Amino acid sequence: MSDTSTITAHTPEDVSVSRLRKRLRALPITLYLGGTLISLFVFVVLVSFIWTPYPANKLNLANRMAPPGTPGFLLGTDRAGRDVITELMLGARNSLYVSVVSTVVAMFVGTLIGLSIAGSNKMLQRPLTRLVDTGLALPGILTAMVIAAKLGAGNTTATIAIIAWQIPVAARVTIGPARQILALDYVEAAYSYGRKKPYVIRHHVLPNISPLLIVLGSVMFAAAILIEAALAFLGVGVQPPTSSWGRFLNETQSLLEAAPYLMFFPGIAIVLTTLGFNLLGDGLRTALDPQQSRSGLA
Amino acid sequence: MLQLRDVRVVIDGHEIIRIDELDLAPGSRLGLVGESGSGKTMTAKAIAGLLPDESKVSGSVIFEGQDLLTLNDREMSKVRGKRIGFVFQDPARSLNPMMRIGKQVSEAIRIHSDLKGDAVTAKVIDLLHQVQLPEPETLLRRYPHQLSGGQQQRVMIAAAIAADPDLLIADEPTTALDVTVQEEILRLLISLSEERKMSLMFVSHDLGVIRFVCDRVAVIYGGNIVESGRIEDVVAHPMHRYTAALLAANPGMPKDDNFSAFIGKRLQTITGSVPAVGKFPSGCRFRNRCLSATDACSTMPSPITTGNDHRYLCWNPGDRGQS
Repeated sequence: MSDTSTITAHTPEDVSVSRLRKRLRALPITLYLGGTLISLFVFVVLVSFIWTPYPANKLNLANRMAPPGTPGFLLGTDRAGRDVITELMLGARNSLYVSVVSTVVAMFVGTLIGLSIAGSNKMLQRPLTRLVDTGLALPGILTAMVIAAKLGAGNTTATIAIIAWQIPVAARVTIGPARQILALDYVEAAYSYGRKKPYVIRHHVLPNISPLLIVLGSVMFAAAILIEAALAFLGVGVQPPTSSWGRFLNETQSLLEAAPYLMFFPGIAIVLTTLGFNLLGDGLRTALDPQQSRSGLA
Repeated sequence: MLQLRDVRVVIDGHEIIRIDELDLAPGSRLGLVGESGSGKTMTAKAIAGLLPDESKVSGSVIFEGQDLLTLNDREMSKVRGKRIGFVFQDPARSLNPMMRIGKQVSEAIRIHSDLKGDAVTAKVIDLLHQVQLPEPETLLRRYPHQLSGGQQQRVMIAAAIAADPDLLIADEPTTALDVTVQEEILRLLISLSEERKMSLMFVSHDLGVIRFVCDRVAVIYGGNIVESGRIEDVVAHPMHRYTAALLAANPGMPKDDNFSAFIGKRLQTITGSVPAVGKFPSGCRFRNRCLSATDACSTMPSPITTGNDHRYLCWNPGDRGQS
């Protein structure tokens, strides 16, 4: 028996490690690309709390509108002489803050509304769904303007506007799949054991639509970042001196002739982050769909 | 213990079920037989209150002295699982694919009893033993897809009887299974009903299966109970033309493996198919497919009862079968 100890290739641990490797390789490339971009984004935000090249809003009046590559200012400075890298890092922070708060709240409330409608009486379902559709049809930017008129511009206004915009989205996306699950045999079986609807929705419907909710969350995150930038660009969102990509983008407008390259920095930051979340969402959808992949997540 | 009186189920303005009288005695096994679309599953679900919201049920379903149709949702959920268990047709679809077997079997126990933790697990293991599943301790932690169809149906039966119901409704519990597994499940249902003195309502399209399991049978066509009685009486002397036609359509078993008796012989069939909802003829609902129909059949016959509580609804009763 002691001789067999040399054969180590197929111990259970090895098998599980190779299995894991195989599963990881089967995951879609979009998941890795999106994951990398998002990790970078989150990493930059975390670093911004302990280190930025310059303090926030440090004006380097001697180096106003320095081109990229200027010593000490890798990506140059803006009109007021603020370091672009510092601005981008602080803008990322604001982006993440607003989109996390708004997406979490909108997902929670929207899913709750969607599940309630799916579980409601059949007579009520159609009118309630139309009500959600009405919410979807409201122009989000206009809603944000109205809220800003009441509350004044700022991050709170932007967050509330994004939440109001996204709740119908989350609700509408949840209704259909939740209704499908509620019509399944195992839900009827749960009723036959004596379960009631709220329990069935929490313990049967919610776990079974969770892949959908994960994908929805990542897509809503991308949308939230875009909307936050758009609102800041329009002046409804965050106000100076807080940095934001959207506000940065707005300021580069007046410099289109003097420093046209400047608009690309916030622009590329917004594009890469939303692209990251969209790729992540797409990758997750493929990985979590049992019909599309044989990989391990589903 | 279970009495249906004047039960009507109406969906979208169509009367799907119309049962004047159907009884189930304590500890007995009643078969409900009919072809697809005859309303047998609807009847079973109406009793357990599992019909969709849009269906209107009237009449009375008296179970152990209590009219189930007067109960609201909350009161009814105390009856379901605890006093009436339900076994569904397709076990693969009646188990949540994302929930472990142990949790699904323990549902009714956790809802209807005060047992907690290890006591629940012990009861589940005992139940899995009772439905003759091997290694219950490891089975607890498995997911439905790791089990065979027969094992899944045993799990469903265990879940249905978990809170010791007095009545078990089995809706075509063996239709989705292999014939070889079918007999094991049927024997299991018989022995469980005998050991627990539990009444069984067995829904099937297969008279042979019902004959194997049940002591009484009710034949349903177009939502009407057209004939009911002791299984031997109904099989030996079918009074309703539909029952007779059903029996005639059974090729039976060849004697001494003599298959030549079947060669060249046409199988008896019932002409046409069950009409769509709302397309049934007036009077006897079977009359447009019945070879013995007469003018009298355009009005609904009143029930006739003969010895041994053999009851039928037919103007031209006979036991010769269709020819």
